[in-house]
Amino acid sequence: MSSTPDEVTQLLVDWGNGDQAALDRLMPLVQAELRRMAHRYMIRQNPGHTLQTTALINEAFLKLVGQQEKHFQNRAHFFGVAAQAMRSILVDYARAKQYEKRGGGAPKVALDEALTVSAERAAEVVALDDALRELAKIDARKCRVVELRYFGGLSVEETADALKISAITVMRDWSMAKSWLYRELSKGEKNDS
Amino acid sequence: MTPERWGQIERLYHDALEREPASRAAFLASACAEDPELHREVDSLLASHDSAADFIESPPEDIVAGMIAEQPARSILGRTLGHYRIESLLGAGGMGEVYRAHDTRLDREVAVKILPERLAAHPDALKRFEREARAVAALSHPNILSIFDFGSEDGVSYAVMELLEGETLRERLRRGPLPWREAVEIAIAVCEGLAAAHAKGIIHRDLKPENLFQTRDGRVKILDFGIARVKRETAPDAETLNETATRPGAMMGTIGYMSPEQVRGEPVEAPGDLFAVGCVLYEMISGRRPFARPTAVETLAAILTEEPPPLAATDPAIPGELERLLRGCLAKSLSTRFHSAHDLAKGLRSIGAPAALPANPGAPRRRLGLVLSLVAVTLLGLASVWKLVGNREAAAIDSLAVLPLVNDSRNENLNYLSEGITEAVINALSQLPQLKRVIARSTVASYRGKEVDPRTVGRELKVRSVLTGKITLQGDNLILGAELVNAEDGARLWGNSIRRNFADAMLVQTELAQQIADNLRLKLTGEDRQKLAKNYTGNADAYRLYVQGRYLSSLRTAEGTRKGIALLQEAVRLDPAYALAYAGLASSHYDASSTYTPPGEAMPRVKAAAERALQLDGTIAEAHVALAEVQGFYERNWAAAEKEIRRALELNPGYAPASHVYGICLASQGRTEEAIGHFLRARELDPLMAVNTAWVSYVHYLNRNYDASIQESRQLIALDPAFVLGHVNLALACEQTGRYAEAEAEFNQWQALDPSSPYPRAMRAHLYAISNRKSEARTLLQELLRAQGAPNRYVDPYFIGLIYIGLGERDTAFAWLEKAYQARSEDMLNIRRDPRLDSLRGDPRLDDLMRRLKLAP
Repeated sequence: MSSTPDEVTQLLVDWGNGDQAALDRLMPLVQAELRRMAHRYMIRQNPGHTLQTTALINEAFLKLVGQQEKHFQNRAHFFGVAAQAMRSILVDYARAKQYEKRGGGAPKVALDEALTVSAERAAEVVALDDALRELAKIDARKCRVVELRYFGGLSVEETADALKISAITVMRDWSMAKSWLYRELSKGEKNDS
Repeated sequence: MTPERWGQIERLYHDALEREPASRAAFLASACAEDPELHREVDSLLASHDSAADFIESPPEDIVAGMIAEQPARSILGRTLGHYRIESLLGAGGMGEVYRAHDTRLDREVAVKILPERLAAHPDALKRFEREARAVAALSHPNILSIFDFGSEDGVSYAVMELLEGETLRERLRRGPLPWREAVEIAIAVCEGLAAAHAKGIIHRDLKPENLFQTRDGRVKILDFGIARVKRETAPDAETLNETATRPGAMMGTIGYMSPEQVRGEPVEAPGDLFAVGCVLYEMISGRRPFARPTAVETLAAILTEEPPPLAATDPAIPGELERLLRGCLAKSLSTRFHSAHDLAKGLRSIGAPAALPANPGAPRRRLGLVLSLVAVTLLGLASVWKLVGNREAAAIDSLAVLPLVNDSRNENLNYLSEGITEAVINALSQLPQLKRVIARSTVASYRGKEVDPRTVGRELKVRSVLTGKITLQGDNLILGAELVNAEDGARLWGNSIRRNFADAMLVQTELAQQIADNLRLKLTGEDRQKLAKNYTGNADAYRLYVQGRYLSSLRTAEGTRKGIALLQEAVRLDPAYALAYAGLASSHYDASSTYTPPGEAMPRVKAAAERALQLDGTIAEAHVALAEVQGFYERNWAAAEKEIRRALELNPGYAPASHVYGICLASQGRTEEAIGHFLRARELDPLMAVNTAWVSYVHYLNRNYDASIQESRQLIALDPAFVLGHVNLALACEQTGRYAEAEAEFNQWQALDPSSPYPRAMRAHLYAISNRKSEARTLLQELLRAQGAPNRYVDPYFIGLIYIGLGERDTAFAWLEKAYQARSEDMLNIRRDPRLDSLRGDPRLDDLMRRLKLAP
């Protein structure tokens, strides 16, 4: 990874100022870092340890931006990017799981069977991702709120900071989005059965 | 859905939620009285709200945990890299996981190796690995795993290889040893693969049963060429040999097959691979490694000092010839070990066929093997040329840097040979008009002894291709391994090794030059080919003296030049028709004139040697240039000098010294506008030679183009702050533009770099004289005049004259300029354009001086 904390910080600032191209450059950096960290957890072979997504993102932040970054706005932006990156990593993984269960033919190499993600669970995540895409078409901000809260593990306040909206708005968006998504996913279930 | 509608739904949803659950239904019914659709929508959302209590409330940490619990690359399953869909994991090792994948473009099954992430932190190692693997891919030998493709996506680097069905030799050996005939068959196949690779200078370095594969239909394939080096380069510190050597079992898999030279940390060449073949063969038959010991340290010691027990101890049926061949593989000393995989394969084959060649692998057969492998080299070379022509659409490459060949032997005497061959190849190739730029020796010399990425060299020198190579000695054989790399993408264009008896060393350079030219796809005329194939002597001893002499001269020390001249004189004594050695003598004498021999003595020697060289062979550019130097700078016969240089450039358009000397000749005649182009060309060919840039900046100064001059000088100083001419030229341009303080600072910098030189003082005196500090100028001038008689204190009278000009003492100034003329001052040659003489312009005494200097006033 050939990015310095300063570069990452600059990209965060640029993105905060509305530069979409900055996000395009930031995303692969953050994704790669999250993957690398997930990899490191694997190497430690400590599956009993429950890992929190926020912890992972915090670690990625320290790695890419560094402790010295005190500017809370940049931190908020980073969490915004990281949540999005996390979403794409987890959904990729869930899709791969589904593929494998459909007869991709992969041998089982899980270190701990208890932690194996079931095909049903994987399907849920993939369906949620699809529904989020639909939600984004109607109300992009609500999609972002879900992304930050669910995939990024951010609190209401952190989400508010990242999106520059009030905590009340986050809670209202969250409630509405949750109900909407739940309804959409229930519809899907009915159609399947 | 319109935003308005969505807003309406959302408002009602929140309003309803703020009410008691019991009153919500009534509220909604009244609010949506005229819009049943809206009612349904909000109602269903409220229903979801009630049952979605825990839904997505906590992050999907089970997914994260699951992802982490499984192999990380699991996420790669089902993904598509390039046009390869990853289907299942085949195996994993220290150098990455291997997957079965589907090539969606060619609709076939392949194996995809995902290289470990840590490689990303070692771009050089990755590049080298890729380059080597590309070279292996180009071999396309039935006993070497085929590599189809490389790629990198989303930070994942991968190699695409043929998918093999079968097992590794390690897996096979777990079921027990092999019958000796079967083991020998496998070893023969391995040798054949190795012979092809070795012929291209590719060494495996990590042969072991894990890296040998037997397909279901019985074919043998060598895997993982080039991995060993990457592994070593990218290993975390804790995995270094030293630290693991004391841990039982650590790295045993690899240690067991290391050759003694590898254990000692020396470079591994072909014989190292053959040592490993011996170990594997021994293990296949006996079921145990020849040097297996309980710990790594003991294993390493055994490799260095112990002989394995004979195989006959396990099976009396083992032929004695096989034991002998094994000893030839496992010999500690390079001088008694097999050197050629080809020879070994031949020997092994003869075991099975009783009527074959005599059993003793003695000298005649080795010689035959050598001939055969030379034939193989040639055929393979042709094949790769054909491939290049056939497969590559790219335009012919027109610029090249030949990096100094590395002396890979421990023999320091080979240094001169590597230098000599490098220089000869540069000279041969720069003659070809098809090559616009072949970087001069003085510039490539700065890469000597450095491990550089050819792409970096390409960028730094702006060339499209880079040649690297090394020479080593094996007994009486000189082996030159070379590799031509496309500097744009790091791809290997060609690689080969040339093996010659040491006595024929002079043939190596012509062979290499021709092969490079062929592989750059230059369209050569018959005349070009003759130039490339030209050998200047048939006398091996004279040749050796020549390269040694040139090497010493090139050190540019008084001692080196003196010894170099003596050796070159000896070379022409042995071969009086050795024109190139005379040219070398001329150049060395000229070098001596600027170090320890007075010009009056040195110049006639330069001239005599150059003329002798040209009598013998009029096509040597170097001799024409040396002659021009004498004619121009010493005899002031500018017309003759120019004629010589133009001839030199006709013969060798890429010869940097010709452009450089041409520039000086023109600048000295005041033709500074013409001169600049030649200095720029010299710099193009010899970019790291700072003196070229110094001239560019100085000529800008003479052209009164002070801003350009200052810019060049500043760049020069930035590049090399210790190079005095950068400071001198900057000071001169500053002086002319009234930046007196900066000029003084630069003169002081110069003085600091060269504390004993009187010249910075002289220049400072001139600066004071023209900047209203005349008394300081006079004080300095008196010091200089007092010291004029002392050794190493002598200042060219021209500069004393300049100080008097600055002081406005015209008559005294002319007296000193006259002294300068008598002393044949070289600096005086700039008087036609030197801005410091501007106040004298129009004075008939100045015109007279210029006339006498054969400089048209």
